[in-house]
Amino acid sequence: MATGGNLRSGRRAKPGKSGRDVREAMRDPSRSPVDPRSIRAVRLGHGANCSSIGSVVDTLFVTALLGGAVFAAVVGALGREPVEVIGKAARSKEGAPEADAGSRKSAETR
Amino acid sequence: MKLRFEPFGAWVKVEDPPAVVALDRDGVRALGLDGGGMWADEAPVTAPLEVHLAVTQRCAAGCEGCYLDARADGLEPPESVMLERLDALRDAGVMTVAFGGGEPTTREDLGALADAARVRGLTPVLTTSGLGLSTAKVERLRGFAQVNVSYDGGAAEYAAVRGFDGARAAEAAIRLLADAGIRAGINVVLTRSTLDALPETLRRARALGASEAQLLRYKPAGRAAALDYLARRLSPEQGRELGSTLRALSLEHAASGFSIRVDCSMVPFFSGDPALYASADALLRAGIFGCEGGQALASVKVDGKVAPCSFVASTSLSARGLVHGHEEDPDLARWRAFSSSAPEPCASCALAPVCKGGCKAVSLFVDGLHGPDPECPRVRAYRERSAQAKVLS
Repeated sequence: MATGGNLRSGRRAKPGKSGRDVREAMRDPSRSPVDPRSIRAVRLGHGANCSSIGSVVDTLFVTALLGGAVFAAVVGALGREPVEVIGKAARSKEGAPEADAGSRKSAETR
Repeated sequence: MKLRFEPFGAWVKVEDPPAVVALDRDGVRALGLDGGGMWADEAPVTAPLEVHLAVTQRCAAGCEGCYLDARADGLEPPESVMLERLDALRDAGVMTVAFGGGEPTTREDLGALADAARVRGLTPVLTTSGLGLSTAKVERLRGFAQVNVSYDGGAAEYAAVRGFDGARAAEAAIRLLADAGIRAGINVVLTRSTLDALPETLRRARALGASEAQLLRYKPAGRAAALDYLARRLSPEQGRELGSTLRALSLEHAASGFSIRVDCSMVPFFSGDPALYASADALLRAGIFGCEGGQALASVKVDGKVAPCSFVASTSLSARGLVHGHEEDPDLARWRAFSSSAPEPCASCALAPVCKGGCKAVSLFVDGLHGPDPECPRVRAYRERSAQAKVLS
């Protein structure tokens, strides 16, 4: 099983440039490798169409080996890249009236 | 990476490799996070992952099939208004913003808007016709993660879709972008007359430096919402054969790193391919999106109104209201509800969780209702059987 990056010593979340939290996950003791079975879907690439949403399809038709490599690369990124929480949970943290969003505070206090 | 809590866990946008990943709750917990209230039983609808933002209605190209009916004297909101709209997308938790128009490169502040999107944590991408793109204009595009040039093929194919030959200008634009080190792709509109040239179109684009092709179905919107749509759309046979076409193209280009995308409206054609029809789980795992209007996709039109996608009428919701309105707007809710209460033959279709009923812009134009895609091979076969049954009875 691909496991991504190693865990390092702990460090608390810090605010991001946009006012959101950035969790430096590799240094976060609460973070562990993501099991590839937790990945439900991978949408590759950015795309750049302004009128309809696109999906990469060539991975459907090429070898399973390539598909496995894609998943391994994604697992690696999940283990390596710092996390920034966005959306309603981020707004909740910033004092916006999102009482039902929950999540951000619980995320931070773990 | 950016993480947005969802009822199932979270959508996560990673940078290397660039991808958007659906992670289940255990996977999110492994990152040291917890969804809290977002994981309650009465889960809220969240927000679009991707928004198509019309930054101008101005375009002098006059393409016959323009879905926006863009014109040289079209509306163009000032930068301050566009910044407010980017604020709204950030607040809603949108991940990708696709700038379009009109011709967005006519805006002098386009580079500043791309930078503004980045500052707000959004990934900006761009579609351009490439007409009039100069080295100086290309410099303004460095903030975009990817720039796609509308390129339907050589002179004949381009003219067949747009009514004039802009192929050479598009090719020059692809080359300029690639030479500048900006990731470039192409958008190819598929019509009955251009599909046959698709293999050569992709080869040419790749040789010019493009990294990706997105294949778009011709849709009856804007100036294309006319009777000749029926003659321009893919034939039933072309629709049924699309899976084979994609398979051959993918195998040809896979080793080069040139990737192939299809737009949401192409997914219904997969029902005509037995192997794809039997692969719903694989399609879901590959993150293939069918009709995502009201869900993962929204469009903010040039007047600031939100629509389920760029090809259909706006709702009464404004971009500023997206953070709450995506959940509450009745029109968006109706779009979302379609897949859970779809009529036959969608109700029994193995691909329904992916396809979500196909392109509503097409069903609204062809059938006059928000219903199953009338050009889907499975829908066609179902209707033919129903008509025969009526005759026999």
